[in-house]
Amino acid sequence: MMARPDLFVIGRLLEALNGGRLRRTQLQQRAGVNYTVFQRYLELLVHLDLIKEVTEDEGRLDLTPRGVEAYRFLSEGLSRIFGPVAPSHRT
Amino acid sequence: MAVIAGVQDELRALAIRVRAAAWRSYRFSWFAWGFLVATIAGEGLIVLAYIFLPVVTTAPTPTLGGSYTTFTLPIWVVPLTQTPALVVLGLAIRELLLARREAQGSPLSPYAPHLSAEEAEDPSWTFLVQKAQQRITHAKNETDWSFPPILVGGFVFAELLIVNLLPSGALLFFVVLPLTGALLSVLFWLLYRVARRWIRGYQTLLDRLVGEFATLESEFFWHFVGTQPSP
Repeated sequence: MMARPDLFVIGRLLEALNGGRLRRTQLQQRAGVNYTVFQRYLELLVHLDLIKEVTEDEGRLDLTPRGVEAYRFLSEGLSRIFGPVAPSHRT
Repeated sequence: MAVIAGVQDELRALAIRVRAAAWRSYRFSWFAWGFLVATIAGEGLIVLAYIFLPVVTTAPTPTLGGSYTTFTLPIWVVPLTQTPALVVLGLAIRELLLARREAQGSPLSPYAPHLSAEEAEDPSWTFLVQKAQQRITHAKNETDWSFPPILVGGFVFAELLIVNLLPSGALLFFVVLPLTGALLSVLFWLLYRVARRWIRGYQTLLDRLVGEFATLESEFFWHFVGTQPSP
């Protein structure tokens, strides 16, 4: 397992799947990480039972109920801490 | 709704603002040292003016029947030689005030540098926040070290003006010079407070983010991984 996974990367993967099932490449693109990083995080999230592969839907990936719960936990926690952190007027 | 992407955008916006603040402190430092150099150069020019452009006045001594000679400067020399120092000091103060306004949410300068490509693309929050923390610490040191040249330059500047523009005498040495020193100290203390306030604002915000995020991280790992994140 990874030494210290990044919560934002985990959050983005879960968030992408929260919108519906995706193929691996689609998920990687939505998460905005390179293939090596994506593979490592995917393995981790499948291992933790947060993401599952749906074999009857051409191997698309989906959130497990635990994954939905994890996404809710992360999105609520992160938006409570970080948003908005910068002043509202920006160029 | 893309909550996490939105949060990352906010974080990136904060990192850009910190980058711009560090840039302001860097410019402030340059102007501060520039002020000292301009003041010393002004003093040098005045000495040269005494050598090459003196206004020599010879007047008879009323009691002894002889005469005495005085050397003064043309009236335009002091203002001309001191203008560059004043302009540079004004630019330094302007940087401080702009840094404060930007920290309060005003639009950033179009010339302010943006994040590096690595920062702009890297999704890791730790990288962004740690980089911002490093930058703000650097900005604090830079700003702190910019005050000694401003203070020294300020005293040299005031001494130059007073000695060259006011008649000499006990009043000058015992009242005017100490009073000017006190006024300058108050002025620079106020400027220092302005600088420290916006820097402290960023430091407090970044420290809070790091602390609260660490708590969220360990809660997440506790609930969904069953372990604590390794440091």
